[in-house]
Amino acid sequence: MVLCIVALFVFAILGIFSVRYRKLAVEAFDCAVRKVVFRPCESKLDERIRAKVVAKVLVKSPKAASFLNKNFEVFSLALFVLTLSSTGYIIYGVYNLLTIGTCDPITGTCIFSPLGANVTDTKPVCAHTGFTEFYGEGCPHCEKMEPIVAEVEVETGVVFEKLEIYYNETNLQEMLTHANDIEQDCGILGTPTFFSTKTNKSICGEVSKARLKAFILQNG
Amino acid sequence: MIEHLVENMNINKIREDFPIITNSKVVYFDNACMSFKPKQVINAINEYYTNYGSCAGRSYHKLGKITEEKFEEARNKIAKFIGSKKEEIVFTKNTTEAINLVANVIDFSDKKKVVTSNMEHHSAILPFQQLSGKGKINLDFVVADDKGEMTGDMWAEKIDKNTKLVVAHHTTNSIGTAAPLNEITKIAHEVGALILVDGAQGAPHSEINFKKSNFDFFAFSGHKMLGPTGTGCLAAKLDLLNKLPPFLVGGETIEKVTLDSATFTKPPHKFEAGLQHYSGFIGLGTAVDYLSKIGMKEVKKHEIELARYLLEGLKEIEGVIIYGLSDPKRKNCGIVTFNIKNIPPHQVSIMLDEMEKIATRSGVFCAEPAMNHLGAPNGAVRASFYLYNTKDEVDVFINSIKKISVISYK
Repeated sequence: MVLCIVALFVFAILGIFSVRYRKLAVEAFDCAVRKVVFRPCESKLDERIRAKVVAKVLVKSPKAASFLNKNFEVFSLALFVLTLSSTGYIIYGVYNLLTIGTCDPITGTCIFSPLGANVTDTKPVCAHTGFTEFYGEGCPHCEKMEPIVAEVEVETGVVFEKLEIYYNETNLQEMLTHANDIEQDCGILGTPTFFSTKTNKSICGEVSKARLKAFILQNG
Repeated sequence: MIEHLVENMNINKIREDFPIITNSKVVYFDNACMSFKPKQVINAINEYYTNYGSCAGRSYHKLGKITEEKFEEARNKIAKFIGSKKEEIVFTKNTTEAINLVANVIDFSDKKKVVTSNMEHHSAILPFQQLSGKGKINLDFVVADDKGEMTGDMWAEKIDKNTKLVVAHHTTNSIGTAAPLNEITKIAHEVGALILVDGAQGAPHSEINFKKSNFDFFAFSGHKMLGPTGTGCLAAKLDLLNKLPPFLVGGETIEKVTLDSATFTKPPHKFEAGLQHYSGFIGLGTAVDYLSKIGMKEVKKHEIELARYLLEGLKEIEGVIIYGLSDPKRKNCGIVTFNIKNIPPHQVSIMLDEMEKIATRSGVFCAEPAMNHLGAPNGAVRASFYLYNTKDEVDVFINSIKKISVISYK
């Protein structure tokens, strides 16, 4: 029975591309249905598959063919389990591809992201690491911090979610929701501000690489 | 006219005449089902369709006349081939139809018993089984021995004065055993019974002399003897054909028709309703020319040689079970049927095809009662030879069976 089900699965997929396999898929379906109710497969598809596979192995190795023939049902069951689990992994993979895309977890760049960012958008859509950098377009202190932030991200594996606040109202509002916490640690609301969404702690302005790394370690 | 004369049995020359052998590169051991066709037969069919393809027996134009001439010439050749008169050859589409024809035209009102055997092909059993089911006949069976053979005495026990018809095989298609036809014919005629011989495996492989053998009916197929598919013949004694009513009726079977009645024509046309398979029988005429040039004795000798060689090889392989005559010295036809222990016959057949492109038949060969009787209810594998098979092919076959037998397990 399992052989018929595996055959149905394989021929159904191949039948998408070739008419020849559609007929076999129909045969396999009939065979599988009959086997489920303990009736013999009329077309003898299962016997034909077995004979063809064993014959091909027999040409190469009689011992292997003998072993295969003797344990064909076991091999069929193993193949059935492998087919099911492969199908599961493929479905899971396709789901991930559609929802997450092909994002680089370190740089945050996404080559393909069907439901999110496009190729030119460097905003990371990978899972949020819990750290945000509020910056401003044209902010000189922010520009000075760029290479330091890049180095720290590579060395720690932590990527800052970068939100521009001078021109992006939404991002500004986001920063304002944490205004009390930021002012508590930094005294003012300014850029660049490095904020931990886990501890609500922040450091601001131009800071050293070591200080930024320490901030990540203490608040991650 | 034979384009390529074959002298004696030059197998290589013969094989050149069969384009399918070169094209398919197959080792073809399924001749008991269907034989290949030589190019001469193919050309004859092509000639019909390209040069004169018309109706016979109806049209007065040139093409019609040519068709009629060629068609009746083929009938003449076939009649000569099996030793009968031209008028005694009724064209059918196969042996099955020929047997059905006999079953449905004989009057069983005076005597109801029909005797046949458990080794017959389904086509020789079912028409009479149907009649028996309707209460028109009483069907009785001669049961063969465990080798599938029968003696004259076994038939004599069943054939009595109530017997109207005896149905016997020339050669069984399942295992190649032969019925003692001379004895059976004599026994049947002694009690006033008719004898119908299933010659499907006889005519392609043996010399047949219908007149000398004194059969009442002899049915055979053209497609098993190098002829096209859809061709078969019933040879029947002319006086019987004159008395028997037609089976299928319609055009060609009549001399005159009114709205109320019809006057039927003479045999064999009385039994050939509708347009016939002109190209087929013209091709079959060419096929019998081909076989006649080689000689049926030579054909049979060649097949028996191959069968004995195969048997010798199979007997050396562990796990092979041979049905019918297993002694190579006694083997007298080109059919060898066997199984390999613990491997289903279909699996063996598919593996042979997959491994070495060897074509065999597997299953019960449309002879389920016979195979049940021989202890092979799931069937067996059958290798059947013809004039174009070679010893090299048998060697390939034996080696493949040796390999397959290795995977058999207890």
